[in-house]
Amino acid sequence: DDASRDALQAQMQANAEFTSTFEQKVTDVNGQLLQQGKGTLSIAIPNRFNWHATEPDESLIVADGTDLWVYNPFIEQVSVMTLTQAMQASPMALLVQSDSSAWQDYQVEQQGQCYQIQPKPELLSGANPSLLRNAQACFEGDNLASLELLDAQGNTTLFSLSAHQSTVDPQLFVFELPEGVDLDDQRP
Amino acid sequence: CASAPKVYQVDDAAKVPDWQLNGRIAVFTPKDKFSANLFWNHRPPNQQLKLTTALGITVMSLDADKNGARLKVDGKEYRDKDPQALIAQVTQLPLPLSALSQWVKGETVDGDIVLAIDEQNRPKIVQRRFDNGQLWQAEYQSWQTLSGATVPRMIRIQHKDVRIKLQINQWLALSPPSN
Repeated sequence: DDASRDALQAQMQANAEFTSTFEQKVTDVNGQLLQQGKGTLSIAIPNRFNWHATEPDESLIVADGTDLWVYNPFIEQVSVMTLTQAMQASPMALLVQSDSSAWQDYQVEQQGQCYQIQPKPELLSGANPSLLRNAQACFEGDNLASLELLDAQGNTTLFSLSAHQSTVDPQLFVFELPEGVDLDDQRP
Repeated sequence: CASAPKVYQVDDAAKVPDWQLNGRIAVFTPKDKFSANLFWNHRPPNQQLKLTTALGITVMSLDADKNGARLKVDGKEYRDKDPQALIAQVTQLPLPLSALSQWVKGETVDGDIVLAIDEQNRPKIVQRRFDNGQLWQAEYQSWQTLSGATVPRMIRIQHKDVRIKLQINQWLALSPPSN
């Protein structure tokens, strides 16, 4: 409900800029470990974050305030889209939004230190339905401690955040196009 | 809870029928560039292959057993007798599954043409003519030791204008070698 959504936004605002390390584990509906990795996540409300996976291999997502850049070194490609376009693919892009109109397509329910975020039914059908079924953001004090994503096929991705620091280098939210990569510009 | 499979230490990956791998795969065709994280559990006649995004969201999942294969993509389900044909029909991704299941172990079979070996006598470039006449080439760019066996780390595969890049991050032997 709206109260939960406002509480979540207030919670994110309470720690509006931080850097943290993350561990990622992806398990399928039978509990099999599909993928695991590590990296750093930096956030600056509103509309900026830097998600840099370093293990087992590198990938980088940067939200610079207006656009979202996805750098995939494995295929030497950068895709760019607007933050609103990105919201369906990246729940992080939603979490850093401060204006509540961005949240209208999502249902938020607070349960103690955790917030369940679910796409509303109209997002689950149509041309490209959201593959995300549920996102759960949990806090420890003012720190975002974990983000757990459930997809349409029952995969669960758990990001556990730690080593929070509130000093953030603003350069983290500026994306420089690396040399020699293809640019896939999906912006309208 | 995450169910951890029983894992064996082996010396020759080629002799191990049941295995599981985690890695990264990219497919380059003239009109498309595709990449995903790869999970592959291979226990003939059963196999399970899942492609997921960096955020862990399933892009494609294949389950096959002796009766046939089932593929889930974009919320729809497809079936066919042969998993390789099913993937090619539905996704247009030219994934040569049976050959790949040997290349991921650096395994060469009769009829393969080894064009080059490296300084440790491991295959470097191997060509194979498929039953459909297509000539495919696998190039082993780096190796590693996982579950006690020497297995490739980076493989580049090519057939005409289709290129596949496969990086293996984890390889688990799920059965002892069968001699």
